[in-house]
Amino acid sequence: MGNETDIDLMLRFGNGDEDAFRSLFMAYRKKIINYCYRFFFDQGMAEELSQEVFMKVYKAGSHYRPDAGFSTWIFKIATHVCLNELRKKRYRTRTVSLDSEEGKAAHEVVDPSPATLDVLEGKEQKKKIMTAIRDLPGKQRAAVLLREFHGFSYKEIATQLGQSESSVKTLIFRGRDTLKHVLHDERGEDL
Amino acid sequence: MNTTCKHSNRLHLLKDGELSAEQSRSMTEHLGDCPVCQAEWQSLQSLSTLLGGLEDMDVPPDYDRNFWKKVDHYQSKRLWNFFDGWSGRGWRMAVASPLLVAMIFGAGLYLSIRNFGPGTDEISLSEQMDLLEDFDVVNNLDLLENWDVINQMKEDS
Repeated sequence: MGNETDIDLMLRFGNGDEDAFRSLFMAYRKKIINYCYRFFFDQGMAEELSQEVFMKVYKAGSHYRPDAGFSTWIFKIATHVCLNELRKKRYRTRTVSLDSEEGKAAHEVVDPSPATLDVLEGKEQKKKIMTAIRDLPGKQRAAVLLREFHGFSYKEIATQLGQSESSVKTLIFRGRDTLKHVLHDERGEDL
Repeated sequence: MNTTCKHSNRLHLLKDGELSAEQSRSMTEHLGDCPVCQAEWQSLQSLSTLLGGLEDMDVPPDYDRNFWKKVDHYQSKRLWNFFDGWSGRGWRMAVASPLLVAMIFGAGLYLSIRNFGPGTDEISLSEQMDLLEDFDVVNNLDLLENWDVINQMKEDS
């Protein structure tokens, strides 16, 4: 992940080198946007929250201390931002808009050709996965996303969530178990 | 047929690379022999495949511009807060500082006049009264109001 270089860049930014921050911003923006996106499956929120993450990094500037890898640190900020947003209950009772990606998948006119059915089945499956992830409790969701999509170790996730490694193990296990059961129930067969 | 296995929880650790080399080897061997764990393993792999099928969100076209606008806004706000903070508490300082300087300067001037010889008026008055050689007398007494005392002192000396 090139953490040493990222730490160097962040330290340089702390000493006033704005170009160093630009490099970090360019390197991490897509990862952070997608992390926030998968937390809520809302593109507008992903844009807003990821920018909040980068603003926090920008403001941290000279206060940054390289205690952990840079990517661990920035994802820790992103996790806090997303969990904080979740606590505001904005997305607890979210309804699916007909204009949204999910809404389109659920309401398209059915063409009975086998190829189209496969596509629709794929879209339906995608929608179910998104709903299942979004219904996970905050910390389980964060742990699963950090592990499955960003490849962090249990130790790194423990740092990001402020939990012990054994708690992280439990969060990931329960998160995956819930996802498997939800998808199993939806499909009526085992995964 | 058994539907559970006490080792199945460790499949998560195996999948995530959280087992030692020895533990991984042992778990892999067990996996080859245990149908329950094989089903669970397959289930875990399928879940990962499904999750991996979710598409990435692209970076919105005006994302960078919007972010740097926020940075500019933050910078100008920080600059404004600096001046605002200074002027908020500064009006008292603006009044107190010149007063303090004036007091220090005045006190210094007063002490310098008192301690370092007679002023111009005192010299000319002393000359008129032929008293310049008695500087201590002149310096320590008010000449106009104590004229009699001075004369007395002159006579005594």
